[in-house]
Amino acid sequence: MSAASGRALRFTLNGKRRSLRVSPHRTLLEVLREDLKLTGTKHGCELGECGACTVLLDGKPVYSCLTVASRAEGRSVTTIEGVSEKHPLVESFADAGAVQCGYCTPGMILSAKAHLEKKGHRCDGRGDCAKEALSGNLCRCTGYYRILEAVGLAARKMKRRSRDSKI
Amino acid sequence: MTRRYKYIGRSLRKIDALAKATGRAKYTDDLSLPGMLHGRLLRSPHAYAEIIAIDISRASKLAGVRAIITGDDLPARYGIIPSSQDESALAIGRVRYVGEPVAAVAADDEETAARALELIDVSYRLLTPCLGIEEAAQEPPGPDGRLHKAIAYEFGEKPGSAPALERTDLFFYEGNTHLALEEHAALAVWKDGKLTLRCSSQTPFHLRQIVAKIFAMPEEKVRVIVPSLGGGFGGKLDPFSHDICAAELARRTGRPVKFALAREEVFYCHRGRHPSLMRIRSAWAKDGRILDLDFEACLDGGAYGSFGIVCTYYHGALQPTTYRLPHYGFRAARFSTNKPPCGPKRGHGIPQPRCALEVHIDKAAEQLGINPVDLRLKNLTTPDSITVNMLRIGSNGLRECVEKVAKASDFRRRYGRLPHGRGLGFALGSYLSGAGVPIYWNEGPHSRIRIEATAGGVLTLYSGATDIGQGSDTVVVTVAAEVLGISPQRIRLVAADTELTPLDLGSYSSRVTYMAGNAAKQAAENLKAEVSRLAGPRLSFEAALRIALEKTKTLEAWGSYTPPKKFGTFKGSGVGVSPAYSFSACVASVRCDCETGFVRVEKIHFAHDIGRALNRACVLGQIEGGIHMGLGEALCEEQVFHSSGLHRKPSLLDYKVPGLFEMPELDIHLVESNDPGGPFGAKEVGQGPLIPIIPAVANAIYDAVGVRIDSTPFTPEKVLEALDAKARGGSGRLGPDRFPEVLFPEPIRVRQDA
Amino acid sequence: MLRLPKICIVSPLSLAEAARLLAEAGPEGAAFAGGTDLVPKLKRRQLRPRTLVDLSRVKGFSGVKRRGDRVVIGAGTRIEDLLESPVLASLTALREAAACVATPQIRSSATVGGNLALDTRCSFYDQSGSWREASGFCLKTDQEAPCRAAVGSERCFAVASGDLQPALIALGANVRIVGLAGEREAALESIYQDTGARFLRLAPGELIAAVELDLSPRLSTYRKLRRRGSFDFAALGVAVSLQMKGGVVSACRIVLGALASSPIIADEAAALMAGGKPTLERVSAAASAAVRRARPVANADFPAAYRRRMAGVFVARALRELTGLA
Repeated sequence: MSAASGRALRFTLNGKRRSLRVSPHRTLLEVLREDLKLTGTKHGCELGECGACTVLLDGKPVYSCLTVASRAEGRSVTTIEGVSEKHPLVESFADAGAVQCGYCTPGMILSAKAHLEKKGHRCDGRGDCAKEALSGNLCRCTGYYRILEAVGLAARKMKRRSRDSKI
Repeated sequence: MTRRYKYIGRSLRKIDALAKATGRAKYTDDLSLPGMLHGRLLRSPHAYAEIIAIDISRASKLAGVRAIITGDDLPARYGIIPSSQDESALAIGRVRYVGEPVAAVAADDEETAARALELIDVSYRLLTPCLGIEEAAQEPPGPDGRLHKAIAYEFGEKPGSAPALERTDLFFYEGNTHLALEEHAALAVWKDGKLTLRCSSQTPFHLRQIVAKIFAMPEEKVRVIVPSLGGGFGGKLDPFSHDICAAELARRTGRPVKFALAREEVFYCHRGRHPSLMRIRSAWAKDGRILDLDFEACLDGGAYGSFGIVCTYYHGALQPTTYRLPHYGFRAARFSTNKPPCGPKRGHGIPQPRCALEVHIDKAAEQLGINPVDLRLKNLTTPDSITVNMLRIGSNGLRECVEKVAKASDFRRRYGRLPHGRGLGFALGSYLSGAGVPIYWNEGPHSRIRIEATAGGVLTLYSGATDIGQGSDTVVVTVAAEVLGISPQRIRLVAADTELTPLDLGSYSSRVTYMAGNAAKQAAENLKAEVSRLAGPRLSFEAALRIALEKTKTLEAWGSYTPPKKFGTFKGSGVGVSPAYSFSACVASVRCDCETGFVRVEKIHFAHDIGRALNRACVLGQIEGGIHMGLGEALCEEQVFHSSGLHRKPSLLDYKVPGLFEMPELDIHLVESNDPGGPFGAKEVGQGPLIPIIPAVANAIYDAVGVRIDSTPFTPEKVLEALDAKARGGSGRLGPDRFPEVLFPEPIRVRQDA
Repeated sequence: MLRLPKICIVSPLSLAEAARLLAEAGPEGAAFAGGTDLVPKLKRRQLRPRTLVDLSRVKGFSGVKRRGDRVVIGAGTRIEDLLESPVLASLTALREAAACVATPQIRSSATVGGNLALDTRCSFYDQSGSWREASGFCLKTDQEAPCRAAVGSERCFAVASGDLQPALIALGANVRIVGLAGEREAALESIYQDTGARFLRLAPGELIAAVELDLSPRLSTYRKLRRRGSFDFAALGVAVSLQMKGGVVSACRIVLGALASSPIIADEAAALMAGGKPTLERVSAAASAAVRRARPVANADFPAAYRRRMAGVFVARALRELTGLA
């Protein structure tokens, strides 16, 4: 064991190794937004009740507002900044009209990304599995249908891309 | 004949979609500046109390605290509308709701600011709070009374024929709140006598005007910039304490100051749906024609005025846009209570009366033995007509909306005939495409757009409208692109910056597509004309622009929109006036669990007269979002308080916003009535679609299980209580049974021939 | 933005060390597993520990292992992992309860032990520090203050609302507890007591190490009352497990969650089912017996009377479903 106070945090962030000093009471949300200036991760409650701050920790969606930063030690964190503009989900969210005020969008995309990667793109966005995967993210603008459509659209695109890459 | 458009009507990507989907878009709290301080507000723990003393000495000594202000430091009174200048940035003398800001701190970091709040000592003398309409109505009138505003009107003439049916109903609509996902934030910089305020505001130009007044400085010394905005729904229209305190603390410290509210504080900002107790009386001919409608309402306004007076007028303004009424009486009163101020939430003051009316008509239909759809059809307004309250209706696709949802749901065959527990409910609604009269009365345009062409053919469109997620940036650019015949991607946009962009009244009353859209269209037409004047005709715009820019260094063109003059001339005739009205019709299909009372909305058939869809995906997104918010108001959302005045559920966990699993299947139809005054025929879609959802669900519950829940939201516990009462031989109605005695003024009488 | 107070985090590598650190910290310490319940409570200053004993590095604390006809679930196992484990596939109530915990994000962080030790909840307690101060605080955190939910009450009525609690009790789970004195095993229900402010019967330093269940075939289900299909805590949780032999109910367990400060074992209700053929009359009698055990106060979503009544409806539905009477 080791007592902690402003100790070094080493983790992989969007594919790159990072190391910085972090006080024990800092959440991953605060470290990302304030120390690393990655403001793509949003916050809507800071209590794990909205999903805007969703990031991927070793590929799984977590609320960064509930994740004490030291929990990322040695692990891999993906934020929206680690998702390319050409990613099928980003494109599909834009194409399907799934982005209104955009505040829930980064969290939604990360939840959807984890879902599609786990499901191996066997999801058309219409079934219960997509709803279940996005059920920890609130959206106040869209009524969710454009978002589900975007997920289905992205799944088809990803399937096509992976098929094409096999040829 | 429909003209073929290149961009209009297609589901183009919103121009900000990629920036938002990649996290690049900056919202107010994403911004930070060197040397920036963090602000926090101390809020009242009491619903109603006199402030005896505030002692900031302990807090001032805390290391890292840079400035502390209280009410006396910001004595100016203000309010979003001229007739309600009753707010101050920090409470002066009295606090009037739990959560009202009392002091503000700027410190090196948020933790220090929060600790400083704990060290501010405020002594209060408690007063007895007033928390509801019934209590407020009982208090004696006078300057300290609770009656904020009372109005009364009588329109038209009573028909001579004796009615076949008369009925009276009461309905209570509970308050609820916007809950945009972005918590309010403000970042102020005060440098060289000039204030720059970046904040989450839907009305940067109004905010500039109000802030300039508070600080007694010329408007050009105040610059309001709205970064990306994470949802508004009316909740970010008013000037807020945090905006003004950020400015004052920046002035005092000479450093940038940022306030980023916590979710709980957003519930205290509120300005949401007024709780409203309503009474409707109507008289009907045997064949189903409405002969008379009389509508009364008592609104629970909360502690301050906000847009409340407008809300009070709106309670009566739009019933006549859907139904031809020979005679219409309308009386409404707004009361001050010790709760966060109510104000404009999506639909403004219209969802409550519309809900009460549509439920009332459903009841009348049953008594008259006429199918609810057919009863409405007998009374619909028509295109190019004048309502009994002097509103001019132009395009009107209401009949088509009604027929579309009736057909899609097979309403006439299935209504009243589904197995017990399943039901269909019908309702319709109407909304404005922008208020025809501005908040601050003047004869100037409501929207202006400037387009600039500079070297290399760079086109920049300057729009003062604020994109709150509804897509107004995309609308103005698409409209200009269509006129110019170039891709929307060719146009750069500068928006919502009071220094760089021309005036726009703001994102409220569903006005932006119609008004800023028209201004953009005119600006583009003017640019096109100027370019072809310089370059000669018959060239493509791009080719002509190159030539024109060889002849002159820069080109600019302006467009503006001023709504037509209102038709009525009586006092109060400005409310409800709009250049065009949207219309919607809805059929809700529900399944009700009689053991638990749970209502599952299974399907919503929805038709909306949009005039013309400028961007199909955006329009559908607005309708779907409106349905979602309407279902929240219908089924689970309520802003309610303990008897102490404490908010019962100031969190996203306890304030129940429907999630993904609560969304029903949707069947949406667009009716394009092609409004002659709208840009390419377009009308509003931002607010209207919410409105008929709530009564449609209420009516469907009745069809399903025979109980009338005459108070929102229609929760399982209420449904079960009504089912119990019915099983015991009662009527199965759950709702208010008393309407307070209110001394309304003598009505203003308005006759169409006068 | 709501933030955490300054805290110290210690990260032991073994349960014994964790127990020692927790005992040393006393009331100033708190076990820190998934953090999904603890972090909001720290942010709202509902709990004010100085030291968090981080359990994430404890060896052998998580995982689902089969031992013959029994299964051992490490207390550090993520709730999400319960859904993925084929070993647990036959324990329907556990799977259903796990599936309806909060949201996918919570389930991927939250642990089994954390859900079993979930702080009791109350609409007067689960509020910010300033809200509770404005309310005058309550019995949950302040022995001098009155109970705000049940006025005049001598004790705190905050509710045990972990979804796994009733499900695992209905399935007859035992827990292994590690403390300063070593390890002990106990029936899961025995660690709860019906007082909201001190709902766990654990000695200082004691920690839930694992849950143990037998895998013998039985029917089970969990039903949750909540307003929305995700996010929400239970306003009522009903778990039923049942064994049938030759058309006769040979064993039955009915547990009600989120109605009191500990899960309620409705043994009278279960006794009405056991030993006979399932009939609608028996089901209805059992449901009524369950309702008699339910005495909720108005401190969660839905009115107390509604939650109480739903206990009967949910028990009846669960029994009908499991016995094929639907």
